[in-house]
Amino acid sequence: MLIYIARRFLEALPVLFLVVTACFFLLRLAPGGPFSAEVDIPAATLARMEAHYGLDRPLFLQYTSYLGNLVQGDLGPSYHYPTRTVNEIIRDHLPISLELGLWGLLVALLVGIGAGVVSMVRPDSWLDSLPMGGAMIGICLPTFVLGPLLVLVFSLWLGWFNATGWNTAGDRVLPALTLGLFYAAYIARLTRGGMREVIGQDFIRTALAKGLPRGKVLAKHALRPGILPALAFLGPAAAGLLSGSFVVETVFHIPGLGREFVNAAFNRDYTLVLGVVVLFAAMILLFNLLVDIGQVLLNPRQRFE
Amino acid sequence: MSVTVPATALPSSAEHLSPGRLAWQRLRSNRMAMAGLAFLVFFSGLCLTGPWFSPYGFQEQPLIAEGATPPGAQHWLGTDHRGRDLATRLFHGGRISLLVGLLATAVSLTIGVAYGALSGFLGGKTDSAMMRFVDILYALPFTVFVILLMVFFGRSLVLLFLAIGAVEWLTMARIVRGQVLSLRQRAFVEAARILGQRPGKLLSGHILPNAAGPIIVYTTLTIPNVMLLEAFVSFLGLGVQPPMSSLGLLINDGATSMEGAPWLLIVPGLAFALTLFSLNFLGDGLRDAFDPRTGK
Amino acid sequence: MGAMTNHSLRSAFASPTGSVLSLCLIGLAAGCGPSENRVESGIREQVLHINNATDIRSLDPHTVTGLPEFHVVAALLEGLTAVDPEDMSPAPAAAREWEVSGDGTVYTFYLREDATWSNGDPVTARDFLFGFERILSPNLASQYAYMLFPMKGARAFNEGEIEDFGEVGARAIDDHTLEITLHQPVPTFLSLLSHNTWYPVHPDTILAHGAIDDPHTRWIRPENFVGNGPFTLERWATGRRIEVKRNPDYWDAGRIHLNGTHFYPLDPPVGERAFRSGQLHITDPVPPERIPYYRDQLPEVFMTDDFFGTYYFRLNVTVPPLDDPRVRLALSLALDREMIVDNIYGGERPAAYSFVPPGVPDYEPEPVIEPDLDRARELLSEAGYPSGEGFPSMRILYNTSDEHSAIAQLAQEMWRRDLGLNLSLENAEWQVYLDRTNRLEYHIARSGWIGDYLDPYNFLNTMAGGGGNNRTGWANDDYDALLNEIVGTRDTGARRQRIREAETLLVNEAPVIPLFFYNRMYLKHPAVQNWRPTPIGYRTYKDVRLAAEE
Repeated sequence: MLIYIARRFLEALPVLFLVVTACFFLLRLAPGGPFSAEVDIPAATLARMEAHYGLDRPLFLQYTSYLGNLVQGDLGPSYHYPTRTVNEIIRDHLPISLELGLWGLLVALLVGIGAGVVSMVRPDSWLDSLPMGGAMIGICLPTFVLGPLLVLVFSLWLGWFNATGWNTAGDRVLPALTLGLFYAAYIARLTRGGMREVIGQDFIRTALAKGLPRGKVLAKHALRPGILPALAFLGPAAAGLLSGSFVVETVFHIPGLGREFVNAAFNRDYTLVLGVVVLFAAMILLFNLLVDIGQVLLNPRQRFE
Repeated sequence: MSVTVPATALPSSAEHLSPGRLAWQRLRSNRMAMAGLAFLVFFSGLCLTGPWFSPYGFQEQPLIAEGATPPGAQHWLGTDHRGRDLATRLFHGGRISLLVGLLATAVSLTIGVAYGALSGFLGGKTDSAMMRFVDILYALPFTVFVILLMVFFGRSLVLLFLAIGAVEWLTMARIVRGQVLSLRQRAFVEAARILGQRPGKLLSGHILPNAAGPIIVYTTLTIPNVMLLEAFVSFLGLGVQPPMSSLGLLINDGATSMEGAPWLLIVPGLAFALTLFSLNFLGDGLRDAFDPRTGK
Repeated sequence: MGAMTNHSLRSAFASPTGSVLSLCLIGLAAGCGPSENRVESGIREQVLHINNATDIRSLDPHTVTGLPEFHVVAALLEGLTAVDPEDMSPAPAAAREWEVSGDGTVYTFYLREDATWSNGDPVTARDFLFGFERILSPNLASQYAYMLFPMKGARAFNEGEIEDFGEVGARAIDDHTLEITLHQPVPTFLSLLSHNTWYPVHPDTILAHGAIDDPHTRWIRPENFVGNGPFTLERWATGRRIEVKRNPDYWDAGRIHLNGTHFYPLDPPVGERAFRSGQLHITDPVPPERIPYYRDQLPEVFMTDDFFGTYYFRLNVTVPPLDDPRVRLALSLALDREMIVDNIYGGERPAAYSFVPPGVPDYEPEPVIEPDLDRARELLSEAGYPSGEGFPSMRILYNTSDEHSAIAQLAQEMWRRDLGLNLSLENAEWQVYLDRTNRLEYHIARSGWIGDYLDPYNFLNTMAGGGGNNRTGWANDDYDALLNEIVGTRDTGARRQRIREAETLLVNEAPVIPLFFYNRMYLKHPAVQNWRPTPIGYRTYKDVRLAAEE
């Protein structure tokens, strides 16, 4: 297993390299630059600012020196925030996005697996369609509608939670719901599908034929193999929860990395965009690895290859 | 028109129709899926013909100082802040959203099927190299990629969604490859090969038609994804060019005035949610129908 | 404001939509709120919670470019003069008094002996000189260095023509006497001095973190920052808030009521929700859709103030037929500005028929043109496009924003309906928009200008031929001559006359089509007292007080 993990790590390196290279050159091709402003900037001033960041050197040289710094873990200075480095910005904002993503994941798992299992208690009855329909609200309402809607109801009308912020425990509830429900819908469907397949298999039929209560059979025997498909989805989902939290961070004003990233893309803060891309790509690779390990652990028939 | 069945995926001769017919029968007994199909037919019908019957133009503004008016006899679904008839804009927007969904999905379908089929059919080293490439693309943070695409293609919606479709093909390629790999070994394919069919003919005539089920299912599930993406792009303010509308744009406009003029959110929101519900239920239904193992 | 009033406010907010859900839930609202919200705790602690609308980039007075930055810097640093919010006249600040020479070119400032930096050092004339030298240093690459150009030799020093700062017209006569020499009289000079570019910085702090002309040092971090303003920098958490605390050693500390101010970077709709749920005392601006609601239902929190800015369309005069002044004027005459401001801002912004916004004490806007459809059609057919026939397809460019989009759509429809022109819209994200207007790759573009100081010249000068802020390709010798005359004229009456002439020429030539004047529309909790913003964004927090209502 250690060898397997080591091999996967080695395989990840060229992937990261390709991602960085592609993004580096793509960004530079985009119109506009980090120092464009609405007021006129004298050419000499602009040239000095660009020289300060080495933007006046040939693009390929900039690329190699970026790679050199990257290898040493230095993501460079931010072009938009004059005295901050990308490392600092990531250090400040990543923990918040991670926490938000974690809460979102929790909601997704609880609601998703819950709905998926309940729906299999009596397939094709209202007990099936109701939780599935409910879970599907998450994928049918864009987060930028769901978020303000939840704020309207639970903070402006009911006054249960703050409308914005990320300070108290209560501030976590609405964002986590908004973020998690989208993925809950997918997990619910995958769990339902997985369970449905498992239930058709002989060992479950035997257990049911023996007269064991259906709920017990589902929880004890069908759940573990049944959630395998959902688990496979967790890799992309976790990545999405992290990098896709932009809308939620905007709606609730949470100082996470997603907001910083999107703003950086619009501000042409080249180094910040690249830094976050590298980080997210690395995290996606890591999650996929974790998911693969998890799948093997849950499914004795599968082996590390 | 709800499900695009591309020519390559259509059963090409009579003997392959029977699994399709079987699936159709199974699908017909699935109430949610049929309700979804019915809604899709109904809504696309409205989007296609509605603007025809409407007395208003989708960009026609009465240029009045007053803001939005609630649903009433004159405007059945009310008007927006510019005084434009919401029903007309909804049908126009629905048309664009469905079109965008179909366009991007068609792109992803074409690339995904071609790539997956080729990879599975060739097998061996080529196959594993091609699949490794897919793995690499999977590692790209998707939102990041969409934003980069927007920076480039922000000016042209069609280009943007072509690009999105070009990214969305990964899962399709995996599914198709898996199907092709398993079908390759089957007796009827072997038989056709022994009879001297050329590889291209073999692929398009025998293998792909039998992989049609999963392809159709996944296609149905890609359309809502792309439509959500369109909504996200609208949220960032980079969607279709006003005064044109799309469901995402209408919803985004509505979300900003959900208290003052709730119908501006409810109407397009409901249409959007129902369309996505329908596509998802139809996709689920199709999956159940095509996969005999999950039969009841 | 006590708990009772707050609940009544909250239920007033909750009722309007009349949706079934709200009816069921309102009953619960009163009981379940958090025990004390930020508005209430802020009143108790005299801490002002205010939405600053965006994440600020820097707090360096010499490199910042935006108003949100200025709003925080104004709490932390102080220049020679301040703005009196009553009549916009220059008021004493770091300088207690001043003298002007007979020819209006030499100013002598007497600094307060009791003014200190937040680390206890006295504020001296040399600190100001250090600041001037810093912002003018070519390597600092300050975008706003031009604000100091009225000072003799400033421009030459900034452009590297002279290297000895001693040749620039500023010197310290002694620790507390500062003399500034201008290369020609500037009637508005004293007002200029309240702008952040003229603020001093603490030399030892700057030099402790890098060279005088290094724009990227960490002296602006809370742990390093040394200021001379009424507040000190306590905390700067990007994405969350900036906290400033009352400076007990400030020379006028007795006048300060607030113990602190917290600035939040919320988008307008988020800020509005935060305001309603009792998390903010002030949020600026109000999302346009919410204007009628607040104006009609809660006038006690809805505020409007002058703001020295104009919203206009730029026309690219290098592209036919926009090179024809008749076509440009026709486009301008066909726009019903009243309708636009009524539809989008509930009529709360003044329609613009001239270029210079209101707010200058002795220069009120006078309409230069009057919308006139018949004349517009006449001009258009004279130019060869009767009823819009043969008019090429053109695009209206705007940067991504619901507001700009709505305005452009109204204009598009007016030009279509009334002139028969079929223009399309083009939405571009900010960087692309800047890029394209800079390169004149557009036909018609949405635009705006916010004045840096209260002088019509600041507006008119943007349209000088060949100027970097012109971006229309328009150049007019008469206009440029008038601009020169404005600079050289000391007599206020004659100067006003030239300004009016220039403005009239500009609006009739119509390389720009003014649509409306900006104003500030914001929400302010009734507890906030003595909140007196100025049209140029300068703020004084000194007198602000949070009073609990009886």
